[in-house]
Amino acid sequence: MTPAVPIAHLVTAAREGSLDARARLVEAWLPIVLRWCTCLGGPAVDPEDAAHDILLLALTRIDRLRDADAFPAWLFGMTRRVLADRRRSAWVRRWLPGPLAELVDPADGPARRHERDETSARVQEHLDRLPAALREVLVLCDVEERTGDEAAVLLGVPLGTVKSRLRTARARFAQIARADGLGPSGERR
Amino acid sequence: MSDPWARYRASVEPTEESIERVRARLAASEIPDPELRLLASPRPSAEARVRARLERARPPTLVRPVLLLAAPLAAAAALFVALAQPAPARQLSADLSAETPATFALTAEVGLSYTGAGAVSGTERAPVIRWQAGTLRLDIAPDRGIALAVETPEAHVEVVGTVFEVARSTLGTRVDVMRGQVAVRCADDGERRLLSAGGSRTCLPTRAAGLLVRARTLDEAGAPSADVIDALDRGLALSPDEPLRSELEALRINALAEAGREAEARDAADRFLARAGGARRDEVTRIAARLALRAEGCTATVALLDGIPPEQRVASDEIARADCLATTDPAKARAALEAALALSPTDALSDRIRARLARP
Repeated sequence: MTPAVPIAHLVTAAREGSLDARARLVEAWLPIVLRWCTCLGGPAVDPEDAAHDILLLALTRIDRLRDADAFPAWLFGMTRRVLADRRRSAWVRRWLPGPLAELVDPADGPARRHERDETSARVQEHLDRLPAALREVLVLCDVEERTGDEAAVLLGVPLGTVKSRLRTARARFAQIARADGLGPSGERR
Repeated sequence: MSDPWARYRASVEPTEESIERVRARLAASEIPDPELRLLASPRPSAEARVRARLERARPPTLVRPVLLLAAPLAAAAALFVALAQPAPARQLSADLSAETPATFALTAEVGLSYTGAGAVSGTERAPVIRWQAGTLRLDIAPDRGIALAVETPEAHVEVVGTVFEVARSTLGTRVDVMRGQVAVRCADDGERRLLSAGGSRTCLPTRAAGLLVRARTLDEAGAPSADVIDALDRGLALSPDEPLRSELEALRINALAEAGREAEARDAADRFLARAGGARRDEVTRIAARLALRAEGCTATVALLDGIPPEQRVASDEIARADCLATTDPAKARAALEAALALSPTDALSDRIRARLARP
């Protein structure tokens, strides 16, 4: 699912100030970053807000990236940090009580969450309950269907670590899903 | 589409509308031109002035003749000592720095693969590698009498003929042994442990700041709260000064609350608020307010949130106040909602607050 564009060339040109290269980088990576934010951000994070900030940060700092080929991993690391910051700063939204809780619950936020069916919403809930390291590998490998090698590059860990995390993540996810009654067919029991 | 993953995959695929909204916001954002950074570089004339001032600040010139005499004498003495001794083992001296994996033979018996930074010293027979950051893998020919040591601020690793890896990160120093045996002494407990093939040991940071970074890294990686709290407790046990102490305590309170240890978190928050000011005070107040809401109800929550200066409040503070005051003081609740509207970080939240305000 990595965009079929010469990333290193685009990054090099963007570092040198090419507005066209920046625009093409955004064009290629915005959907991917938006999906990462949707899957990994959790209920307290507005994916569009986060994706905007991540790409803005990336474009601002791109001249500090030495290895143009490392752009995908660099961008994923940036996504991870921005989402972690946002989760921390937005924690208060998780506990607001009573009728006003709806005001800060972005479950139907601008990223078309309202369009999800019940099964998808439950998958997201279960994902949110996994530790970040397991959630990341599950999203990269099972949602985005990347290979282990691709995930290892993005996460900056060895392939063996990706495999073992993926095994644990799948087992943990299945356990949570079973406990919640989400059957293998995807229908509520 | 009965597979939950397939449904989920379809549901998280960004829509054109969503992509367009972010694209439009990016287009409207001010992205600094990289060339603007050059403006911050000092001009040659400024550099020349600084050099001139440094020149004037050097020690009096009377010292120089003494140094001029002492240097040749010292060199002659060193030469005499060197000639009088048997030839020493060849000294090693090299800086290691690589952002992508690099491999080379340090000596005929020692192979290195690394990503990160460090420095090599010692001799061919007894190399010493001071490793600063990243991953270092060593392959040492067995039974050749090579006594190699790897040192990090947290660990001292000794080895004779083996393959092992030292990874230094914000979490500490981790040693993994692939073949042979190594001895690892962690700086925090001083205990020397032998590791065999397949074994590993992690030496934790030894300073409070390092333990804070470890805790934050664990927290961001979604590690169990117990591990985060353990790192923070170790940091606090070192009695750090402010503001480090407050940083450790604030993160610990958050971790305790996240772990469901609410009574402990509330006690720690009360102690923090009784003692500390600073940047984390408002954050800890919010945690205490959350915990108070569950344990004591709205009165305590509002009292705590009222303690946050209005100019430091965020939208969710005002929303929580409004929710609590809705039945007891509707006017104040409305004022809190209006304040929340002014502070709202997103359009979606603003719309909902407006809808709420429109209700009678």
